Amino acid sequence: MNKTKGAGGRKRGLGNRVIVPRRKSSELNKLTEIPFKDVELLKHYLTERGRILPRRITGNTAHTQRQLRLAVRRARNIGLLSFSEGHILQD
Amino acid sequence: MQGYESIFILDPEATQEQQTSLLDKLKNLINTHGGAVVHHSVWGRRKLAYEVKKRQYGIYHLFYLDQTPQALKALENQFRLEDGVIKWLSVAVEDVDAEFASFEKLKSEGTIAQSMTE
Repeated sequence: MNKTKGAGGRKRGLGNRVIVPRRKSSELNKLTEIPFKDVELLKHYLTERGRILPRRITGNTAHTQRQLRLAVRRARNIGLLSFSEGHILQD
Repeated sequence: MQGYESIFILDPEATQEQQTSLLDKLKNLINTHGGAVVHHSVWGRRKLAYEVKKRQYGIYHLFYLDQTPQALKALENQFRLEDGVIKWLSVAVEDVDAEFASFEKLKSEGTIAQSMTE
């Protein structure tokens, strides 16, 4: 897949699947520090259920992803983000 | 001395006087340990992402501190004892002024601000 780097958008047959190579980069990579209090920013990198999206989807670098994990953990701790969305507590 | 950012949530059901006296008490505690509250930022009443001590809402406060690690320990101990504080988180920061400025900017941009009426 990496061999087609630069060909941007060229379709390759792979069995029945069609893979469209595309460049991806995350906006977070540009930041020096991820603010854990910026909930709206963090939400872009979470699933609807509140799990952290893998970096293969968001395009975060390994370094950024680690920082994101730290920021999300802090935000969860202080009640800004939920640990799990849609979880109903039994009374 | 080390810079810290202490974020803590006050019980929304406490009266205004209780909250102010609690804040004064915490500030006094920091001062007696030789620390200083460089900035104090009130984030205000926000909905909690999950229930904490049976509360759906909390009043967020941020202290930007310059103090020793021992003083931080004493402060966290006080947080633990106070019923008026329902949750807290302290983070060591390099530059308290820069952190304060970036938070104020974030707050004023309105993306994270939540109305008091909600």
